[in-house]
Amino acid sequence: MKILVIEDHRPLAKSLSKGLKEENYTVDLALNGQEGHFLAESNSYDAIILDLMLPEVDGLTILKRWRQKGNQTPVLILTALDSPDQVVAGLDAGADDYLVKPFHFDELLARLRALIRREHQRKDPVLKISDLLIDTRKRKVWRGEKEIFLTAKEYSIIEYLAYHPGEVISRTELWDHLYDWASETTSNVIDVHIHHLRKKIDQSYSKKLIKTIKGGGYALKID
Amino acid sequence: MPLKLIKVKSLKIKLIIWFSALLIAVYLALSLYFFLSHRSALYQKLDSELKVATLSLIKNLRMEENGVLTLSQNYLSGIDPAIGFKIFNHSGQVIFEIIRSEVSRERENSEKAALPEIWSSLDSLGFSFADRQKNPPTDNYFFRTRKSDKEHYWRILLLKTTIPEEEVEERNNEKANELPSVIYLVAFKSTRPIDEELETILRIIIIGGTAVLALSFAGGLFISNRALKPIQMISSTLKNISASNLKTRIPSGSYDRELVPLVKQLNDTLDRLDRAFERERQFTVDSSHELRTPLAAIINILEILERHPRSSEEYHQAIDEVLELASGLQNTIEDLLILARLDAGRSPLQLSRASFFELINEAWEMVKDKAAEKKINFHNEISPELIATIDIQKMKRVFINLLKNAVLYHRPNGTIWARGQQFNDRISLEISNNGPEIPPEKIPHLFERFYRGDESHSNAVEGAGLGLAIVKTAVEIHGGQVQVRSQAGLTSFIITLPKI
Repeated sequence: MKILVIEDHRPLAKSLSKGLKEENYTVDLALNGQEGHFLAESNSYDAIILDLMLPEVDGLTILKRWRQKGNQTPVLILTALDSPDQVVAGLDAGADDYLVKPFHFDELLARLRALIRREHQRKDPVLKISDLLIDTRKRKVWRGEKEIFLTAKEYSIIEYLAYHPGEVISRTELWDHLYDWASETTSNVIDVHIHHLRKKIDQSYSKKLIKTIKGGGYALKID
Repeated sequence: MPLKLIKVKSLKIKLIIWFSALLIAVYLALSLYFFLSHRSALYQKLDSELKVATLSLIKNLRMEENGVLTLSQNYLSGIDPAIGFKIFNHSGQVIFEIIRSEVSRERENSEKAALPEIWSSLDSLGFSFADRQKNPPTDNYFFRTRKSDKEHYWRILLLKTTIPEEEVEERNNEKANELPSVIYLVAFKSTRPIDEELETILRIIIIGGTAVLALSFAGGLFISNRALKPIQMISSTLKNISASNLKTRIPSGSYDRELVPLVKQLNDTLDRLDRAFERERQFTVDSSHELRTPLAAIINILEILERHPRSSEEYHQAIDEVLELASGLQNTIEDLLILARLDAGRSPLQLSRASFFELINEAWEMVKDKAAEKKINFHNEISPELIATIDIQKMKRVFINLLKNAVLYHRPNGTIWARGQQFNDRISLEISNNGPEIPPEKIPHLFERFYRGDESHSNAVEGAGLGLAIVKTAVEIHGGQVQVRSQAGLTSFIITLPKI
């Protein structure tokens, strides 16, 4: 899952980015409104964390512009402005959630997960494909009774596929959601990760879940 | 106890009273003029009647040989029967009298006894013997109004004349010299018809006055209601304006010219209030942002640090970051407190004599470490004799903030100067640097609270953008002002203080 953080307070932005990365999110960071606007326009994110008081262009203006142009990315406003008027203005500008600074990081993470679930019309934080269980809260994966241990990137791939069950996901799309804009790796590395995932999830089971679609990409589905 | 005038507080009642008073005054003046001129016309008419009757009487008078005056009988038919006559001879005796029914009726009606006295002698008619002796004017008419009793007035004509000479000579040649050639003729008529007419007029005036008074009250009420209506409209608009709704304005188009300045003043006041509230609101928003964001960063850094075991290097780095943020937060809080105290006037000026040279040197001590890092030079060129009465703590804060800013935004190896000048009525102090110029569009905002030249709110350690706001407020409390000049490679903050 790839998150865009738009926050002008450098120490907070750095710390947020570090914390989210440790939680297995891919993070792009923008320190002002202009940069944030540009990144959101040119990349596809699973969620955006938006500060409101930003130099150059303020958060609400950017948000309204996105929504006018049809950008559907879930947006969580993270701001020091706490009056009911400001919360209403934020939500009515098209935000999906609103969190006031100072905040608890756990709460922010929970709200992000909820945003992503909502985006995929899910209620249960545990994703199920046949006997494959993915607990998005603890980032743990089971096949039947057996826990499967995955690397961070492997987990991210299987989670992303599980959020889109039965859909064909191209390598580019996977790459877009797993690597930040500064990454220089190629999409070949996706194939390597898929290869490892197959070994861990499908190898010892008769029912194969990860499918390769020729000329398309990958899909997680029951036949 | 002295009589106190009742103070009328109602504008409406005042308007009605003034309106009615004015109207009544005009009415009374007009009535008085009419009454007096009418009265004088009536008297003139009466006088000329008396005069005409007198002239025609004289023409018809005949002096008998025995000195008795006789009148041709047909004369009386042509003369107003209400006019009576009496003729006195030179020595004041009545020699002739005509009193006919009209006159006697007037006399009957009043107290009979009181009547004759008035014209029984010439003296009582104001035509004394002494007057008669002294070069008496002949053929002059004198008119008098005399009271015969309590309420009965008569108009009296007095004429001193002579009987025409030819007639006397014709009839009695030898005795001519003995005849009383000079006579005093008195004609009189009751003024009752005039008095009655004037009384009627007076009654009409009084009735009319009552009507005018009633009308003027009604009119005053109408006018005052109309005049006060826009004021009521203004006040009902104002009633809807509260602290949360300061955007409403009194519509200025629909008012009369006289009320436009009032409406404008009220709207201007509302504008100022609105701006003040807006500034206050912005200040609250800014201060909550400036306090909460670093706090959020501190909490976030610590929370994330706690989630996983870290290397000691990571811990040290986090501690440094948090300390830096905390000290930035401390600075912001200090500055906010200083500003709040300055605003509330809770820290009154503690004035004492101080030398600016020493004060600025002390201020430099606070920033010289930072300046040394950037190898910035400082020249204090203020004369040690420049002494003024100031609040030392507040002025020191002013110079610390100005010098801190000068160091912060300066380029390495730059120079900072402090200069001072004394004028008759003021002292001018200047902190200048040869660093980068301030863009002209930023200058008007420099002293705004939470405004930062570089517009990024990320320099937590460098303060929250309150330094220059404190400078401005502190200098203004001293009755002075701050100006900024940034041109030709030199940026100067100029403080002007009045000499106390």
